[in-house]
Amino acid sequence: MTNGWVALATIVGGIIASAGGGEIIKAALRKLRQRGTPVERVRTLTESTLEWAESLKSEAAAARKDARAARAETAQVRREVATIRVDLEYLESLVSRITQLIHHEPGMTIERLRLLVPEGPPRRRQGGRPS
Amino acid sequence: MDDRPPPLLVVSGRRRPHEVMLLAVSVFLGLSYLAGAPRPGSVNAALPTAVVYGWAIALLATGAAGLWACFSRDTEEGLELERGAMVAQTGALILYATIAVTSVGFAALISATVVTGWAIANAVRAVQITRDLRGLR
Repeated sequence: MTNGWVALATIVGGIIASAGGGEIIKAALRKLRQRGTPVERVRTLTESTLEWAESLKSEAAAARKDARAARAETAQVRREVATIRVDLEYLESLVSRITQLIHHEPGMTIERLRLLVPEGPPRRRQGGRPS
Repeated sequence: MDDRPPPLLVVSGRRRPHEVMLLAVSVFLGLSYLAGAPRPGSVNAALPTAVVYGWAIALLATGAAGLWACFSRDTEEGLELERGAMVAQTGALILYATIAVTSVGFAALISATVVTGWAIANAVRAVQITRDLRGLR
């Protein structure tokens, strides 16, 4: 050291440089900690992929359950439509029979008609068929 | 109830051409001196070899860290790294400017003035970053 000023500058410069260097190292270490090691990164990625796959699996199971419920509902609706169709056919035949009776007997009365056609409109059983 | 809008924080950009260029110059000088390029005679005469190597390493490391910080995508992390580089580089530049002035005197007017200005700019930038970081947090 040639003189006191250089010595002072070396000390002051060294202290300032060390303070800045410490901050650089701190920032670099924080960055490294955030990133983690490659093995940790792969493990994290694998774990999150597995979690994602699990959630997809449970979503698929729920969707299958919904589809089964929808199919059952559709079958029920079809059964009801078929029952209504049978009811309509029966009513049609009843009307046709009454019309024929009125046509063949011009003096037909409502009392006589009730005697000739005792069965009324169909009453439904559990399965929806006419009684 | 206070209806005033929240204060708007503007973080100044980190890719100013003068700063980036000086950081690149720092990397270049540090690398050159470490690779064996002739070092300034005043520095060689005033400092022990180990300190001269430390000075060259400081130039290289602070330039590289500063450049990395300028192009970092993470604003906060980049600012912290940049502040560290600015402060550390200020130390290395103060050392050189003092040696130039005390050893060579007026003959080193340009180099000493430029390097002192560079060191002051670094210090001012470090203060700016501190203010920006306080605003971010």
